[in-house]
Amino acid sequence: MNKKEQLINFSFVAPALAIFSFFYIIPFFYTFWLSLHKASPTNVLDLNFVGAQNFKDIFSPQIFIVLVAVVGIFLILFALKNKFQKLSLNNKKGLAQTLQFATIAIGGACLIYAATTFITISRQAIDFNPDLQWWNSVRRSFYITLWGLTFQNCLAFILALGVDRATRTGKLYRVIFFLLPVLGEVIIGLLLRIMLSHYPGVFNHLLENIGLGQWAQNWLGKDMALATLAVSHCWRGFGYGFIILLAGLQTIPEQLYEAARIDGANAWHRFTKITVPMLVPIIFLVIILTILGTVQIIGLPMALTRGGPAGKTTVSVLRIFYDLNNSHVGYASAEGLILGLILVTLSFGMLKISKKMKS
Amino acid sequence: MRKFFTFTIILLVCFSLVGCGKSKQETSPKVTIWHWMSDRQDAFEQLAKKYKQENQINIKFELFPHSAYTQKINAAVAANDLPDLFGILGEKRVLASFAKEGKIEDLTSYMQEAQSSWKRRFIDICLKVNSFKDNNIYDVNPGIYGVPIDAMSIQFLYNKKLLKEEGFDPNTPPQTFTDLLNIAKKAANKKDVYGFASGWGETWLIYCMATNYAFDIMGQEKFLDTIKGKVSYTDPDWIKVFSLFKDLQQSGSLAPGIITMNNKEAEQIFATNRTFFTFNGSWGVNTYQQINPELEYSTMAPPRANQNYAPGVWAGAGASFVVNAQSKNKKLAIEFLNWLTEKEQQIFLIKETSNLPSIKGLKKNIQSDMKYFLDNQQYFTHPRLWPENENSRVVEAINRGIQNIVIGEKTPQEVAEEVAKTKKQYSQQ
Repeated sequence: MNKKEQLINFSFVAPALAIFSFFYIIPFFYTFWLSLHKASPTNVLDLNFVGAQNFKDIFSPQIFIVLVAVVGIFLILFALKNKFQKLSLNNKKGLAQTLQFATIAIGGACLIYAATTFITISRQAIDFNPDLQWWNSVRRSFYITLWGLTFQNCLAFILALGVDRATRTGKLYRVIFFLLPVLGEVIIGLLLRIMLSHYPGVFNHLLENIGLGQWAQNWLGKDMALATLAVSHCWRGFGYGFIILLAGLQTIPEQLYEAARIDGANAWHRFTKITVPMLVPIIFLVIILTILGTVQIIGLPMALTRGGPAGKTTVSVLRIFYDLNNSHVGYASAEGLILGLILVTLSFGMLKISKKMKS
Repeated sequence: MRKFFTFTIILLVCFSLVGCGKSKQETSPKVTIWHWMSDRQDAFEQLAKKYKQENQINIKFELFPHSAYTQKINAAVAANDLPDLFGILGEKRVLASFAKEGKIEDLTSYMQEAQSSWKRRFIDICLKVNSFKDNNIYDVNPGIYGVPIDAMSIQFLYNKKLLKEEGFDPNTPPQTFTDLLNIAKKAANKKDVYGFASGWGETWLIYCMATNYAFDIMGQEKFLDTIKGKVSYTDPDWIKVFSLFKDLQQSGSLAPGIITMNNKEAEQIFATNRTFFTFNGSWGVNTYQQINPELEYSTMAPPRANQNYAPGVWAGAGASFVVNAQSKNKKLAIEFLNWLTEKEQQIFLIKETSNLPSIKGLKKNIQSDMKYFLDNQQYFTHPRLWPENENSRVVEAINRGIQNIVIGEKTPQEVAEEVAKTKKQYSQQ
């Protein structure tokens, strides 16, 4: 391929690349840059460079140096295993070697930084003090995600199986179940707040009227708020999984089921030996989308509980939002990056498992 | 084919360039104002129309959601794209930051023109919240940096009808915190009526009430010393402040779900005669009138927990506008602000939006219920008047701690220790 052809080919990718860079790559690096800063206590517009201080505050310095050391070792091992040779670099050995040296250098720098910080910490006897408010908010996000992965996706799967067989009313159900995700998080949150809060307490009145008054309680109170938020999120969000799983079910050729029936397979066998294996990639897609969608919720808790009572429903993204509002721009950026990193790791992990199961 | 592609690309570029530019025929507004006050947009637009008729100058009020407003302003600062006039939400250090960075105009010289006629128009406290004194900790040049367009106060309110029904004199509200608890306990005699309701789901109201009582229990000086780090939050006086919330919780008079209740819900409860007492700002009058025009209520000074010091009552400018120092229309914007704070416009604003005026001499124009919020002026204070404000992380710890006390998960002592720990952590940083 000559240079002119390369240029023409590149021109096709350029618009997409420009848009992607403008909306994703540049904001990502800008967020990283911001995460290395802290606003002055008397001037919120004056951002001072503080290096990795925000990350140290989030993890505590002790955990932070362990993480830096682990990243350093990983990078060095990755480079030493010559992984760059496997990358498609048009057989340019020079480029692969440069990348290898650069990675070793970055890994080495990480190790040196971890070692020097370790010496400083051990001299100053710094307390082990991770930001528990942040990590608790992450824990709450994953608690809701657990509900999403189990309750929400099982509900979506069962309903998709049912609707897949309903030839006449299938379209109607599809519309009904997809109606909730179409409505905004805030609308659902405000409606549920009217239903569930002590005042006006529509749901509790309903329970009393049907003779189940003993079940009436403060659904947004200290014991129930997080579970209520989780169930509300699942109720609102199962429609997405339902539509994707239904589409997946409808791609399974009917002949497979017919052949199985002829071979004497019962409904359970057809489900476990045909439906589930054929749906594995779709199931993993739904799992990844559920994790990404649930960990990032903000509208629903904001409208339903504002993160209360006493911060019991403050999920990670809501915490980031509050930090931004309180002019902790650098800290919020660091929190955002950590959350992003957790999500990327989880998503790649799920994709890898999916590939292994497929093979 | 190639010609077609070239032509299409040129056409697209032309369209985008035209889209980016401003139409010359369009009469662009001279002064643009950003704000978050959805309830005042109609009134603002009417005033803008009037101003156009009188002065042939276009005024454009652009409304943004309250929750996204701060981000909008921050983005505009980064892009150097601030409007001619805008409001600033948040602590005094935010206003200070804008002033220090030269983003907003020092209005002192304009206020002092014609023997300070503009400056003398305002209620003192309203102007002070937007001013910086000499040697302020923010290192901002002393001056006035914002123009208040209305005023507010946050007070204890009591329901006269409910007090009368329980045999109390409706014109003599409780004087001490113990009296308040004793009356509030009577709510147990009534179905679906509570002793005390407030929008504590919006945590800043908790901090407001806590600071009112901090003034009452330890005095302003000691309170400010705590912010400066000279007094610990584990001091017995602070534990007394936190204990008041424990007392309220133990009295059984708090409305169920009070710490998830938002301000609007608490206002509805008070308006429907379902709580003896509430703690709310002057903006609530609107809701009370809409829901129950017959509501009999009044404001009262914070029932005292200690007789040695004066309690605090948050009051000051409800909303203020600042002038973009880099704006080409700076002069026009300032002239408009001057006009907006003239008597006639202020009367229109307080009538249309049920708020208190930011200028003097309009007491007779204030509707009867709103007048109550001008009571207890001897206690008026505002965080923007304090020389220093508490770190937002510490405020968060106080609010969360008090919520934990109210739900019975922590004792005042535990909360005090937790707040002191947070204070220590952020002081070190």
